Amino acid sequence: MTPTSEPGATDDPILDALERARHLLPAQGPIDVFIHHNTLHAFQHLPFEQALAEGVRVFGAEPYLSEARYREELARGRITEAELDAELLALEGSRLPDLPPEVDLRALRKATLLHGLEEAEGPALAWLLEEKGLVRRLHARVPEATRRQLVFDTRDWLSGDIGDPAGLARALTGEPDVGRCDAWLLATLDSRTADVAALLWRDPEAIAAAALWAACLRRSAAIPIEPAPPPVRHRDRLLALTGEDSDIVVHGLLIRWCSAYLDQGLAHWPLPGREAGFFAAFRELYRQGLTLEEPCLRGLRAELHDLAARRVTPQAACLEVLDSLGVPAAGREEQVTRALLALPGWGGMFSILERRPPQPGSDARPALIDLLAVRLLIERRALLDLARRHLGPDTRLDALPPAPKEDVTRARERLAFRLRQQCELLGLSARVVNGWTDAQARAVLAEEQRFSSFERRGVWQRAYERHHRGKILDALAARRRRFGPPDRAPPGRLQVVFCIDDRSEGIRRHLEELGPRFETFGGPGFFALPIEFRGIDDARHSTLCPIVLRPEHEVQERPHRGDTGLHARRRARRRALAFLGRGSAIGSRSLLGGILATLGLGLLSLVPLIARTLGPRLWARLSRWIAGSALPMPRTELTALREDDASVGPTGKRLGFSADEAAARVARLLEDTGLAGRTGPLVAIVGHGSSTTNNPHASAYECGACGGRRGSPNARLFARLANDPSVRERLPAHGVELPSGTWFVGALHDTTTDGFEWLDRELLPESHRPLLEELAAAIERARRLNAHERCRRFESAPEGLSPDEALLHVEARAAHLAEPRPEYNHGTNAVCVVGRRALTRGLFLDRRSFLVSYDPTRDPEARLLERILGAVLPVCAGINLEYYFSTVDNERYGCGTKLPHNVVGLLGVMNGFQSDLRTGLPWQTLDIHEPVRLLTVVEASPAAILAVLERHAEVAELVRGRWIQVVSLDPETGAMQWWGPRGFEPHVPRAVEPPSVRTSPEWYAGRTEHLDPAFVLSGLEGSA
Amino acid sequence: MSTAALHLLAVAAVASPLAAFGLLALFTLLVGSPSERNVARVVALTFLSSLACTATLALAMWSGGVVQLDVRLGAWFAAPGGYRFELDLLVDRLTVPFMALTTALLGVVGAFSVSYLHRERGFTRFFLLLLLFASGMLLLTTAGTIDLLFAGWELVGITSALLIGFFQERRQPLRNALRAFATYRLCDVGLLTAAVFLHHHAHTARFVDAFGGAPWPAGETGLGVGVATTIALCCVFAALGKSAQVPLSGWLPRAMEGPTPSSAIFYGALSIHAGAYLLLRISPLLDRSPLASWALVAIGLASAIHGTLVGRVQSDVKSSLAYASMAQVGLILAEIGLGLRMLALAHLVGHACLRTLQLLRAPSALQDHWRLEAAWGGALPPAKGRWPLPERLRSWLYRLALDRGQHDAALERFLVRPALWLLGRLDRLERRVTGEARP
Repeated sequence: MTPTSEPGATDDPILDALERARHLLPAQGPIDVFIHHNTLHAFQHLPFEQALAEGVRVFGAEPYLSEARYREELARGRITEAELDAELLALEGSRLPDLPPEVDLRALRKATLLHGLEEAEGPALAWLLEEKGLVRRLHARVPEATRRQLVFDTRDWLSGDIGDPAGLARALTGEPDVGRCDAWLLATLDSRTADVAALLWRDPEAIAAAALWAACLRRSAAIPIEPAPPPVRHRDRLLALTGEDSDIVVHGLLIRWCSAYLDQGLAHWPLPGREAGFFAAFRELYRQGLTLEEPCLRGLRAELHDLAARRVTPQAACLEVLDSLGVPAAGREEQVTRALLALPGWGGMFSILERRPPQPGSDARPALIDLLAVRLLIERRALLDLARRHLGPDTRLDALPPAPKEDVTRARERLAFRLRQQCELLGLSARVVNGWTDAQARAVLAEEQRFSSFERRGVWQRAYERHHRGKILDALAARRRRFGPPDRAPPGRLQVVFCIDDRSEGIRRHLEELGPRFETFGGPGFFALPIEFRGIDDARHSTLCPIVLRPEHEVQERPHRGDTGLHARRRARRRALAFLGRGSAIGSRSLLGGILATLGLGLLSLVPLIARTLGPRLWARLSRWIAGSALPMPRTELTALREDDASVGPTGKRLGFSADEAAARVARLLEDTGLAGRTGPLVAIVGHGSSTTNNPHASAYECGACGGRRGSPNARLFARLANDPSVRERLPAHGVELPSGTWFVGALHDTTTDGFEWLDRELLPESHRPLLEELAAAIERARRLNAHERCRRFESAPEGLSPDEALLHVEARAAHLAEPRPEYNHGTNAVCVVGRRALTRGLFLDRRSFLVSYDPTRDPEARLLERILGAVLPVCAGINLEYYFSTVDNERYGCGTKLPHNVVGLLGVMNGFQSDLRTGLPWQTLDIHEPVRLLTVVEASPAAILAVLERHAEVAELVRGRWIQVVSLDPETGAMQWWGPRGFEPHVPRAVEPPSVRTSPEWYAGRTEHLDPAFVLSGLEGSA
Repeated sequence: MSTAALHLLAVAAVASPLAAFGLLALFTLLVGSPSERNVARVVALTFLSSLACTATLALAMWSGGVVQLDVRLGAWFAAPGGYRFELDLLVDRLTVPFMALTTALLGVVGAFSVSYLHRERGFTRFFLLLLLFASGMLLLTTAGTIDLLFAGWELVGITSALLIGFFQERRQPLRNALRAFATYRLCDVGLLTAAVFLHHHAHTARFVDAFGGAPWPAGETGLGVGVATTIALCCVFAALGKSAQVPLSGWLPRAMEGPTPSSAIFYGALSIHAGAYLLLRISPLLDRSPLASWALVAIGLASAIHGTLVGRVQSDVKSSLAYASMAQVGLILAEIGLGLRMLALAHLVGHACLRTLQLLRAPSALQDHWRLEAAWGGALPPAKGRWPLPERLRSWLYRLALDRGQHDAALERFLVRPALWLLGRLDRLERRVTGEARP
């Protein structure tokens, strides 16, 4: 033992390293609240491309889609060659000085993009050469013209030497040894003659390919091979030495202990001693006597005894292990990082729960250092056992033998294969390759390295985004050209404020298509009311606002005074049901209760089993009906306004708003959305939520602006506050005049079932009832059409549904036990428009756009813009980037397919039996997603946007790092400026006219793919 | 209904999944992967027709008072020395509930899987395996000879392993599939030995002949106690693996790697009860052999206690349900050992249905928990054990349960490592004798 490992002496190096490593772990908390966020948040201070490179380095994750996928997109016209050329042109990079003159850089890069390169070495390469015949055939993907050029050049070159066998031999093999050359020809070309003239006549491609391969092999002999750096982790070194993976043992044990420790109530018997911390709990439980020790962890028990006797802290234990592994002080951080990243999901959960107040239902006190210590202790034992079994009983972990060196021939062939592909793509024959100097050959390979797969896919991705950007901006420009600038159209009589959510675009459009009397707005779905809320059916409070905000107010739902008796009965019955439900759930898994449960409930369980699979909608209706009659719902009210200033709720926050606070909030939403000054008689505030079945990721489908929960309480509260006379009279003090004839009503839109629920409609005055009837009737139509439009994306929906049938279909999806795609969530998000609805009204945006209402004409100092962008962009970018990363690498950034998911500890999901905690999004919400960075069109001058960037750091990070694509749309002139690599640069849209249709269904009917924008004329009537 | 019609129904019920499998497999091989809709149609048609045949058969037998149906389809092949592989089906009061259970649950799980696996790579493969499993399960339960039963038994085993390893691109499912497969193969030795003994001593593979022809559960065997005990113990050993009983239960939680519906149908509903079926089928032998019966009771109870204890500490839904299944199947086996056959059968049918629902609803665990909490109106009271045990014993038991009874450690220490050591020594010896250098 070294002196540095004395407990208490050097606590800091490990903790320091741990703090830096912590940022690399996933930031997703327990899955009951799913917050979308930038998966690469740890690198958000870097420009996007650099962050991707860090992702490759640190997580080994894919940065982009595969090249094959991009080529498919090119083939189907989603990317055009012109866009690819434009991106290639923009790619900086000077010519390497030694690059031979025959190499046309742009042509080479283009050819590489279009035809791709293949990576192969060792047996895979031998298979390609021998079995696929690449030694005598040019690669199949080489275009015909290039192939012909290469073959003809070889033929001309060799024809000159036909009469001179020694010359031919030198040309082909590099030596004037005719015998060897003949033998090589016979062997390589698999022919019966070594007569070059005959071969050239019969099959010139064979000899061209063989000569090229031989020339490349000779060239690669002169290129120095850099050895790969030794792996950091001992596990990787031993894996290379022995072929056995120590992580299988380590993770098998560690995952079981982690999940038992962090469990928030799934196991009936919690881990004892959790309050002492993970390290102590593990130490005490594991070292007990009368247990068997796994042979592969021999010595662990004794070591834990020793640690307990010496009272070693976890950080000291880490140091001891690292020292005994022979890790120098400088290498500790890397070791700690790599150790934690071997199971990032569990590490991340420890890290997050460590910084949260203790969870209800769990006395665990998680700390990342504990996890690290336990991991390192287990790992050292597993490594030691592995090393001793394979490398001899005296092997020391701090003196492992070096990894076996790479075979030189294998490395040379790999280089030669890369060189050969470059030559093939350029049509360069063996003659040219023979003529190069070694430096030139090195330059060709260096160029290939420079235009690596990462760079190539970057070009593809930017072309992919350019195509999409062009389409959207062209449509916006065309709308302005054809229907004039977004002047202040007369306000609609029936106004609806939806969440900015991309899923709201559909229902907004369908509503507006019903006539100019409907006008819609978009504001973040918590409607400027950050609250802690507890409904009458809730177990505890939940935070209804974006996660960056901390509510100062608490709101409760309480039974109406006349309904308290009903409420009490309801509560008692629900409690009894909970008791029964829990009893039977536990009982069915216990020994004797299990007999009763299986005999009593066994056959009965066939009923829900069959009903919920074959008739989910009927089952849902039936259970709703039963619940409604057995548990009648009391009328309720919210503790909206504070009765006296001292009243404080159970969370320690102010219970309800004061009239003045409420007026400020109401004014804020009206100002931000541009509603102030143009309110009609009735304004509906529509929050949204979702309802899905058998879905651990349910929270991800809810409103992101309400912290992953449904937004109905906020909508209801907003209407209640805005209708209150005491709030009304204080509004002018906050700069907003509201006509006394304006009334608000709250509602909830269910994005899965397209259900629509009006909240507190009975509080509306008699005079406004007909208006609400009119609006409700229109919504009935719009929600059916929205369901209809959504159904086109579901492959499993029958074709040719009517809007009514479509509504039934989406209701069934929500209740179906076996439906992994109840809805596509944000699966199509790609655009965010911050500006007046008049920019986009009447444009078919395919439910792919976050629409944020903002009126630049009332915001000369960009004051509103700052707070809107500051609130909205991080949320939208978080959603968009989470979708991006989960799509490009669904295994590492996402959580893979839902099929084997297994809920663990009420925290998240694992794959099957046991695995790392899977973070990110499941494949089933991503299979139609197009990963493009959010195209954010802001209706403000570049100067206004720049002013916001000065004042708002996170927005600046997103814009300057190009995590989102920002376009400034001048409110006056309509000129567009795109934020490119060098800041704002003018964007001139093409003068193309999108197609015009009367209604949305005309455009989308019968089509399942993403659709380009189109003019929907019925949405434009009266407003243009 | 005539006997010939009943025979036809029985054959149709068993043959339709096999035919559908053959059709789908041939199509996939020769033409290419069929569309999801067509696969779904074939599967629905197959399970519906199989279920309809079973239901008609059951009704006809019940109304006609037929308690046993002996269908003889001739021999598949014959070997010199008088051996014939008879294709005999036996439909009786044990078979019919199993057939009904199999076809009904497979139908529901098939319907479930059609939407659950929508757009998944391996969609066709999954349903091919499901059809093959259905064939195996029906063959197993309707087999009139122990030879045919063995064929069904093997089909169930191989499809189980292939579905555990459904996600071929991941390493862990494959490792765990291999583990299950190894356990199955080990225990197949038991069934094979039982078959050989039955042939040798009873000179028949037919259950009807071996058990005196009386309809189940009334059969009797004329074999001696020693022989009966040997054969029964072999069958118990075979059942240990398939029904995941101690000490061969370690594969069961590991089998939860496949798609949720396959976990449900195999380890909640059918495959896990195959061992119980086998023991019910050979119950006349158990009657004859107190030793085998008591061994079965002991194993069943040990598994029940093991499953309950370990299940209580599992913090993931699927493992928790796997151990709950293990415990109930242990009780079912104990009931069989005690001679409570009808209770065992009822217990088994109820358990299969309940567990299928619970496993299919496993992804709901989170929502269920929060819903219960909301209805309760606060954090749920912890469901701690009520046994008054001293703290030290409790934490020792906890440790044991968390390590799943330390079966893995014991297996590695007492079986795998010594075996590897011995093989290594033998290898070295052989090299020294042959003078061959180490590679």
